[in-house]
Amino acid sequence: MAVAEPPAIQCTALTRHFGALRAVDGVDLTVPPGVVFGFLGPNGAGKTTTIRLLLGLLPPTAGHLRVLGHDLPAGGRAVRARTGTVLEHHGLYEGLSARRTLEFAAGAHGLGPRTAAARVTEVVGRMGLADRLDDRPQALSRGMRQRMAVARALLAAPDLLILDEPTNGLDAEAAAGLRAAVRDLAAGGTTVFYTTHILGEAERFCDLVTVVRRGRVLGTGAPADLRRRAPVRAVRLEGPDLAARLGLLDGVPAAWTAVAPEVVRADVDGVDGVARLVAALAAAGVALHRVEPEGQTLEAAFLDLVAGDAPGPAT
Amino acid sequence: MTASDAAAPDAAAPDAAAPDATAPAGTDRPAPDRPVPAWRLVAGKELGDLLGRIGRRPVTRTLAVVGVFGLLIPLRFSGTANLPAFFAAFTAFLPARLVAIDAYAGERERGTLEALLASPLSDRAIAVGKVAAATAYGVARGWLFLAVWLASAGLLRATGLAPRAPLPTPAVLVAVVVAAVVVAFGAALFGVYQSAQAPSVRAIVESGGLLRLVVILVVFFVVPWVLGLLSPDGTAPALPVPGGGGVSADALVDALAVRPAAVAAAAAGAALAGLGWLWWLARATLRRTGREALALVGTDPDGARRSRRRRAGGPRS
Ligand SMILES: Nc1ncnc2c1ncn2[C@@H]1O[C@H](COP(=O)(O)OP(=O)(O)OP(=O)(O)O)[C@@H](O)[C@H]1O
Ligand SMILES: [Mg+2]
Repeated sequence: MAVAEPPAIQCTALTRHFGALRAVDGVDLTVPPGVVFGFLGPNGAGKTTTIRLLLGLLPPTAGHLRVLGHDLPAGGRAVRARTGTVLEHHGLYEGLSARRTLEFAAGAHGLGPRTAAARVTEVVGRMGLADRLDDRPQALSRGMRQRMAVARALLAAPDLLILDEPTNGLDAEAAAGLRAAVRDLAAGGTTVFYTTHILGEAERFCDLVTVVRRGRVLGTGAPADLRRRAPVRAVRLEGPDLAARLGLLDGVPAAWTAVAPEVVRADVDGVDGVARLVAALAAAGVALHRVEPEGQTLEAAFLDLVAGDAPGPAT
Repeated sequence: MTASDAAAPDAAAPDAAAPDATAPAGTDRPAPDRPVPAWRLVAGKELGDLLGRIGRRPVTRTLAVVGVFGLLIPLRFSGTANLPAFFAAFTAFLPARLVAIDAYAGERERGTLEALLASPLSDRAIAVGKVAAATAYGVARGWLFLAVWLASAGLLRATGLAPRAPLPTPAVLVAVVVAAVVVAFGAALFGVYQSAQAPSVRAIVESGGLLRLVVILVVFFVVPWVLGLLSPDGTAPALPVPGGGGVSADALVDALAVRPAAVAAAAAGAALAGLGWLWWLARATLRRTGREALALVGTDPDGARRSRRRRAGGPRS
């Protein structure tokens, strides 16, 4: 009999203050296991602070936090043992080759020296950097250091992967490779907690996203659902000779521009505006093949959510 | 062991070599791939990173110090043959301290501390590993000094270049070998204790400047002078005694020798006090190096002190 699996991450009213600053302010999150979860927010939203709370590196000021079945901060060590992390800093030691740092990390996860060495070669090979393993971080490019950091996160086949803006500094190919590797892991049941401000990336990559700002959750949902909440500001219309026919009309209830003889882009105010425009054109006998609202990207939804959040005192 | 053990297929494939605590040692079967104990893992990482960053300078420096303090000064002043032994102990002290104050503060500055804390290593393993690394480095430097000194003095004597090249007595040698360990451990523990809550290495170096001056003065000049290590003829100077007259350190030792029980009691008391201090320091270091204690260091150089004052004054929240 299938029992609903407990969430990989669950927090209620999670709060962390730094003096008067509320870095994380009453956050409720539920991340089911095996999900790629995007934690999105502008600079200073509290993403990294939340990650520190999840890892038990920082005690919360208030609220309750349960990760992989362990209450935090008491269960921090058990959580860290099953978690791979890519943090803001790559964490490679200046005095050690990348190989030595990664073998150390594997050892910290309880792997014996020989297993660790083999595992490092394997994972770094998958990140395409096997030939740079004996370099120190100073000799690596920024993207290479980041890839080494990602490789370290994957060493111990974690149940939870926490990635703080992991594609920072990665070229398009490496970023795609990272996403593919993370997708594979998620397919195998690993939960992924992923922060970014690159919304296009989150849109394609995440199963579930939460938008935060000033430590508060502004919205949660599948990217497609959030996208639909974005206000429609324009609509793309297609129809036979559309541009010419609109030009002959007296009053079109919207400002419009011709993209092509058959294609017109009109500014509208929300979904209602689309409906009004389409009804007016139908009444005027203008035929339409296609009506496509524009601008419903995750980015638009994000900006709308952020704009709707009443600005407080500057932080 | 059984025949099947001996005939076991090559288990060197990493995944097959699961930890097997019951495997007998000393067989030709590949050893199981046991994880390295966490504190040793940390200590190894610390030393590797340290040596990787500093290069070969310590060795050349030791050679220079041995040349000047170990050979030239004692050759010039006949009574100072045991001065190098004294310096060997301090060759253990400074390196251990420099490595130890870097332990947390240096990693904090270089950005690697958070990744270390995000690992499953326990707070204790990290702290113990760091103290062990600093101790080992200090001991290695102290013993290296001794070894280079013994070798070069021995060589000078054997070749007849300097028949009076200074060599320590066996008792002094043993005392210094042990002292190097104690000194390095104390320096390592105290340095790691300071490092845990410091935002940067610089902050530690800048703190206690006056105290450091006094300690250096006492340790490097007053103590060797009182012990007679600095005087050309090897005799201790007369110490001014309140109430007139003077007494030399040698005379003091003679006087104390008359009361061996009192001396033993005093020595035991001093040793106990020292041990007690180390014990207290070790506990305090473990408290200071817990992840919770480490979390907020460095955001504000004076923040730690302020929050301590707040905690002492106001009610706990
Ligand atoms: N140790 C600290 N001491 C004081 N304030 C802090 C500390 N850490 C974070 N903050 C503050 O908490 C807020 C949230 O910071 P956080 O690093 O979590 O943001 P973020 O969402 O990760 O931003 P970014 O996208 O720039 O990485 C910021 O206003 C920051 O200044
Ligand atoms: Mg951040």
